[in-house]
Amino acid sequence: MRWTSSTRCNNQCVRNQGEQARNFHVGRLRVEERLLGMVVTKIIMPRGSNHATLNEGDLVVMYCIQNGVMLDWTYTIHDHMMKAKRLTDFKLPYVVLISKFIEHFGVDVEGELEESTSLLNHVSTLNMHRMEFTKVGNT
Amino acid sequence: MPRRSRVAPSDDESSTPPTSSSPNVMNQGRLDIWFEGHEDRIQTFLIEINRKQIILPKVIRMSRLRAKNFGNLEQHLKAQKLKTFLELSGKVYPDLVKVFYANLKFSNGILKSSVKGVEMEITRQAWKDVAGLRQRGVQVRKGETSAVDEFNKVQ
Repeated sequence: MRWTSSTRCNNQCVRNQGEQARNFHVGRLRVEERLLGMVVTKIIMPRGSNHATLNEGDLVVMYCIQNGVMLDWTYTIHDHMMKAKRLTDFKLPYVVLISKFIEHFGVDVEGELEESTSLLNHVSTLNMHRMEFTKVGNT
Repeated sequence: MPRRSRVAPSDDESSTPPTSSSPNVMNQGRLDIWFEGHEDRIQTFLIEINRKQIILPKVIRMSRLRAKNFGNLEQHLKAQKLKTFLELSGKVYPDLVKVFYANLKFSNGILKSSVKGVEMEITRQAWKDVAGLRQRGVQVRKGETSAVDEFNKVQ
């Protein structure tokens, strides 16, 4: 049997072992959950690619946000930072947060490479419009 | 006798500053400023961190959520005290962020790093001042989800 992608193969393997599928596609979710999924995969626990598949960690976080279970976000964030440093494939997350820390501790930033977040970085303005995320009524 | 004298200079070699040892594209002077001349940290930086890409930051505005009829989601996020963190925007220093990652360490529950010789200890107070986050609540990370009982029941 041939598989188109390793991810799919992996999913299939997990299912065949008699466990629940650990990964989830956002297409199955309602609009609001989908937007929450976007917030989680792009801002809270950002990764380089594959924002359309939610893994177990994303799902737990989303569950807790929706059901009002208070989470220790500092723990989640620092764990993600350490992981990004440790694993070779990971891209580096939380640029803005760390830049704020750098300013907070009074590091001299004179003459360093400097960028600024622009409107392009705003989730709400572009992506929401592109995905036609407008909610009608209270459903 | 002359052979024995040849052994001695090897001691000398290790103590000389290895400035010429790393032929690389980065400007050595800048690296020295960033890492205060710690050669081992510079090597970590060049080998592990420097080639990694940075994820483009994303920002979300709570007011936009409300305007687009997602008031429910906005309230959930606010209840988690995530408002300040999600709305962080402004200037970004890509190089210094890489330096931060190269020096990043975790010990005794506190993240520690140093940039340009400034020691940074990200304590409870720093988290609160910068990102508005508090160190309390259930501790959850990827691969360790047992803390939330109800979730496992749902699955």
